[in-house]
Amino acid sequence: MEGKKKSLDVTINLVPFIDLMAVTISFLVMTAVWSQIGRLTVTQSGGPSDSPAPPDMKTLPLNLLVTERGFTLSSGGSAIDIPKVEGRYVLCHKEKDVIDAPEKCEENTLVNALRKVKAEVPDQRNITVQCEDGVKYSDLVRVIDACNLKDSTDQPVLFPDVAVSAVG
Amino acid sequence: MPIVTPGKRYGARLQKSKVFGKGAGQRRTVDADLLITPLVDMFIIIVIFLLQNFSATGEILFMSQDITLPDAMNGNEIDRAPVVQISSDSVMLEGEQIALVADLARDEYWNIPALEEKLRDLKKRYEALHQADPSGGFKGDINIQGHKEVEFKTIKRVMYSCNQAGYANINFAVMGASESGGEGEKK
Repeated sequence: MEGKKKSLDVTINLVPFIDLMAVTISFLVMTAVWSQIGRLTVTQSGGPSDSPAPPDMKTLPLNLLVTERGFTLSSGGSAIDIPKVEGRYVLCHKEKDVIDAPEKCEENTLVNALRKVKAEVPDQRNITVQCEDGVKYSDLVRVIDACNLKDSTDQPVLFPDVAVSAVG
Repeated sequence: MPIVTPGKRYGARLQKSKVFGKGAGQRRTVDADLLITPLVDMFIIIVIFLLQNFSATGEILFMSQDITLPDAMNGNEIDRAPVVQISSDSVMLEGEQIALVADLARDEYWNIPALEEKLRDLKKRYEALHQADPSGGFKGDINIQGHKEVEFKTIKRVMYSCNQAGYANINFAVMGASESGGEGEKK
């Protein structure tokens, strides 16, 4: 007598799997960090610097003055004024408040001016940002952010070593 | 006579009828099988989404309603360090109020003496705790969590106090970090 053939269909018990999923989801939801907070590292001008420029590298004193009227970028003996447009600091575009890649920025904007200086002295990494007392913190952060601009490979393209000082 | 369930009873002639007889309306079982495949699919999608957003460092800064962080696109991943919070009203160190911004506007000092003293204490405590640890030397990192509308006048005094107390690596906390993290960049 031939025995009954067992069915090949097997029902997997999904209840433990669902339990595990529920516990994992609860844990991940409880420990999730929803806000992406970053940092912009600066030093105070005149303070200790971790990266002194090697003596064979060509660098120049680069100073960015941030006032309530706009920017003044001094490099070597020359200075460029970048006034505010309609009450806004002109970082990359005069019309919109977005910082693109340096080559996309318009003439007479901060990023464009920084890019020209960087083209002259590619080894330069340091910049000193001098700020007036009345400048808002968000504007200072945007300037530092522009100096820290990175390319698609996440390498800094301008001046990532920012020192901040007060005017006067 | 057998006991029958109350209800309509049709005659013997209709017993075999598919409409009125026993063939009609076979009772469906009370047990229903739930279709759990979509549920499992949904769980898997949620777990993948949450795992992608998972951060091992956790919440480093305590987000306060008084402080709205400025936005930046080129920031690095924030590390654990003492946090100085600057709101429109007050300056706090690790959640403890140090000074009022209104009071700071009155005097003309460069530093905030109370903040500097507290930071020196923190530094001493850190050095005492890590003196046996060769890799855990004091690096002078500090995070500044400032409200975006605060004026530089207050920020510079906090920075000067940090610098005087030995915290030279000042990190401005910003909203929106790059996903690559900060270790790759040469300082």
